[in-house]
Amino acid sequence: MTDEWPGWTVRRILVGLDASAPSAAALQAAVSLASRLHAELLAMYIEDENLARLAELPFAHELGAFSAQRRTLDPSYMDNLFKAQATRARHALQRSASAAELRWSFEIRRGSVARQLLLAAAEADLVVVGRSAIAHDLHTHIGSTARHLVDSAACAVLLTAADSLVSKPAVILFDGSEASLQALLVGARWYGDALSPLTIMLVQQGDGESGALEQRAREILGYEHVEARFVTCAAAGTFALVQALQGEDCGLLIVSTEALRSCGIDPLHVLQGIERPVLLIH
Amino acid sequence: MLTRELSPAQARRRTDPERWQFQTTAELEAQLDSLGQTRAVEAIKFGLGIDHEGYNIFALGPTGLGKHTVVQGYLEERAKGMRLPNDWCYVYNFDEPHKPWALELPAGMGAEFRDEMLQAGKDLLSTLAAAFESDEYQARQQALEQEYAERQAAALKAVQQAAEKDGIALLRTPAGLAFAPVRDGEVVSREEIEKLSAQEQDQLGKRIEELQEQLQKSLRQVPAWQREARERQRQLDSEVAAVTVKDIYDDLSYKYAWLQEVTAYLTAVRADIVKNPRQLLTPAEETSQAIELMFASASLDSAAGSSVLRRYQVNLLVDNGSRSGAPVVYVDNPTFENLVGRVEHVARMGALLTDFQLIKPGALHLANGGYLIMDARKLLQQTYAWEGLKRALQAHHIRIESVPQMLSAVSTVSLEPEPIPLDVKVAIVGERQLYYALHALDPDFAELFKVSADFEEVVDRTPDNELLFARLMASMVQNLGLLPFDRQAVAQVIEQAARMVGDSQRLSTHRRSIADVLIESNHFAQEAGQTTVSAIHVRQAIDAQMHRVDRMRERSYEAISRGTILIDTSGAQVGQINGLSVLQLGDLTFGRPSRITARVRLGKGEVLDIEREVELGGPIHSKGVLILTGFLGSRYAGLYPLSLSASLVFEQSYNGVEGDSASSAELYALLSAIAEVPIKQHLAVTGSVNQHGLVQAIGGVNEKIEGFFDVCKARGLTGDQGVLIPASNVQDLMLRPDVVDAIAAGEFHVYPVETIDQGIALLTGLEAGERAQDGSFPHGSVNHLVHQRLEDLAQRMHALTQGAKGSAT
Repeated sequence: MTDEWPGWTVRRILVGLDASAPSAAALQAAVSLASRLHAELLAMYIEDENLARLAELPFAHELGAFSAQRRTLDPSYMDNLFKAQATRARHALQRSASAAELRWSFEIRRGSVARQLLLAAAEADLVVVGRSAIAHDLHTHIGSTARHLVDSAACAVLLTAADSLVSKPAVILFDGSEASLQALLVGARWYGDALSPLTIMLVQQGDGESGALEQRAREILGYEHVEARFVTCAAAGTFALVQALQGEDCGLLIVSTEALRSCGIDPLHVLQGIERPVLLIH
Repeated sequence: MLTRELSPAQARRRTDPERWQFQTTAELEAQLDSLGQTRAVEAIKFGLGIDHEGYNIFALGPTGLGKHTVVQGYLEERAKGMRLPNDWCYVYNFDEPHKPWALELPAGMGAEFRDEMLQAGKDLLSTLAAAFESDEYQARQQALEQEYAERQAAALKAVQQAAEKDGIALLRTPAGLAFAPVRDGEVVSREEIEKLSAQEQDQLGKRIEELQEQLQKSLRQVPAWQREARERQRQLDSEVAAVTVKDIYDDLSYKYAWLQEVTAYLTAVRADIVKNPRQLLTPAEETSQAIELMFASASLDSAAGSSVLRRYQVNLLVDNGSRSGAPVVYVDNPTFENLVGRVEHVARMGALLTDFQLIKPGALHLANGGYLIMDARKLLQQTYAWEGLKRALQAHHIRIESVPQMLSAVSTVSLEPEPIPLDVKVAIVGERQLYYALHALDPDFAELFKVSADFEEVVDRTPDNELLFARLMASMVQNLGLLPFDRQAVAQVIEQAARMVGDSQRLSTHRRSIADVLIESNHFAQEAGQTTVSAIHVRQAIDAQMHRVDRMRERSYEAISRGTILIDTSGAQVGQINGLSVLQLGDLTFGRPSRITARVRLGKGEVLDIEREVELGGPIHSKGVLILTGFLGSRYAGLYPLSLSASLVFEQSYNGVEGDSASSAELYALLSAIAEVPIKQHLAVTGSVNQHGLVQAIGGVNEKIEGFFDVCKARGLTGDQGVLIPASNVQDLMLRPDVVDAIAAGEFHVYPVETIDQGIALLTGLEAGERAQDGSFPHGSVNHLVHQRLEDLAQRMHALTQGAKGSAT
């Protein structure tokens, strides 16, 4: 019966690495998914051109994140830092991918992190990055790179957080649209066998019956033999949705950007509002 | 004076079974007290009755007397009425983990306490996990984290916002944070900066420097904030844990409130849990975990949960819960560690690990409050075991340490369990020589073992004791699960018990030998399909015992019958006599005749002991020979010099001769040689002699008589063969039934002699001759002939001496 709702095939997964803690979580998630979907893993480390430029400036200094000590930055020092970080990222990738017996590749590029990832994403079906990885902006929940990917990537984007994806059940936004149907199928097929049932958050479009929406979702999940619990997001709008999501003790959020936008909700606002991992399906 | 030969009744003192009322041992009341051990039993009772330091017991006597059984029996009897000793446990010492605490609990409560602590530990884990997952805790923890995250973010944000006003962004570098001028989200390039005026560049640099200082201040606060956050987190954890601990351990604290040490321990447990509850839920790689991993497969109760719970568990060292009365412990292998206990180790990755759970009790722990029995020989064979026992008894406590620790030979960190007070009475069972050796060589011994229970190996053979012996047999038969012995069989065993000690007036109390006879007799009775053991079975068993070991005896007699060893059992010879000797080879003791010959010639009054000359004779034998010289000189040559030179030899003796039991035979041979009177070879002689010519008692008389009897019997008894024995040995006679039968039939004779004169008369058939008042002996008597010959020799010597002097002048 799966033919009725053709699946979305993931052959290549791109993961952006920088050897930081969020990036390690992204790598773990990417390896887990690649293993489950039998996909190839394309890993990329990008030497940030902004940092390279910074190192060339005459007054460039760095403060140790832990020691708070002031150090002079210069291009050769920065190059060394890039190389060390790339080496660590490659080793981490090699360990995880070999253990999962995956096909993998690792590439180092220099340039704008967002642009390079977007360019590479054209070749991939899914991009995985840490929510705040490769982020220069320190006080928001989502980094600038992630923001660019959400806005511009043609493929699906998985923004990971430090939490494990499977530690808590996934929550899927479903409004009955074709786009949200795709999110529902991905959730059911990728995470339907988790220990806890999926949570389907029904988002009402106009004056439709939530009962009918739930019925529709149940029908689809029934074909996939997946159990789920249903919650309804009563009010419309970003604030209501974020509040409803914050109220659920769930892990990964699976959502279609198209469906959000059709409800007049900016996906970035939702991402700003919650701190959990998010799988955005375009 | 005619010497009367012994009657069959004198040759073997019989026990008359007909005077007993019982038919078999099954009708007899078992003999509980060991037969003839009144002195030892009194000593044991005395030792048990005195409750003071040093009144430990040493039960001494040969092995096989049943010392162990008697000692254990009395100890167990007394232990029944004694107070049940307390249980002992080792628990974790939270202040000094390498010095585990010892806890004393009333008997039976140790196991209870151990189980309760184990259960409490399991409950603690689940309850603690639930508490830390509770909404209340999560909310408070998140609030705490939020507070500090916001404080940190606010500090950074302030700097960041200040920077943004001037077009400067805060960037994260691989190793830290940096400020850079930005335009449209991109860092301004070096070329663009260089396009700025020097003043502008300077201003920008200064501004960035200010921002860096601001950021530096903020970042430097972060560690302090983190410390504060951790401290508050710990406080929160402790607060939650305290509630959990109260819930779980309050009941235990209440239950054991009357036990001060247990209460103190429970308080320490609670404090330890509250101090760091997180370690219970996320145990670190530590020793205890490693140890539990080692035992995970072996432990039946691996449900004990997290390895960190080991420290809250109880090692029950001594459990007296299932006991009634005080313990009586026999330690079969009294090594140092088996006595004082040990700390075991597990090997992991090449390292040896241990903890208080691996402390194992020693026999002293198990016997504490009661009695400990061990064998002296085994104890002394074990390195430092005696030393360890003494130290514990002197110090009144048991300190578990290894031998190297005791000797200060190693200084590696190991467990030093708290010593446990010791109140035990020790009974050591051992041979006499060990007791005397310890007494002589170890000054502490007399202080620690003030009671010696000396076990007797013989008992007087009175009618009462014979009946007691029968009752002792009855109890042994019962304990060994043997067929009942009829009274004739009992009498036979009693006679054998007398034979064992070579004394018709006494009985052996050697339980092991008696038990062997009983078991083997039972075997023959069963083989014969009997339901009762009879005298014939006992005789069979005794004969079979002898047959099993008498290969050497048979070889020895075979050599005589084949003529390889020359022994005459008929005819008469001058200066030749059959002496009797005893050989002992392991369990086998047998007598054998030896030919002794004497030769005399003119000489200076010396008797040459050839055995001594070639160093085959022992000192006692040489002493006997010298006594002969004294006898000869005083009796026959009082008024003139003893002018003979005699030589004495044990013919065909190649293994040495010791003892003086052949001295009378040697004297007879010598007298025969001097008087030139032949000695009857159908007689054999044993007995020592003194300078007055009195024949004295010797050992092994039964075996010696039987030895000559067997040789004669092999050649055919002639009816005149027999043995001369000292009269004082008559009471020792317990001859074999076949010898007694031969005596009864007049085929063999045993003559008790008191003096040399009696003996020489029997051996030569001539009168010995009593000295008259004028100093002369009756003509034709042996003494007369000896005297005459010696006088003749003296005159010849004198003539020779005078002649020599004349020719010299």
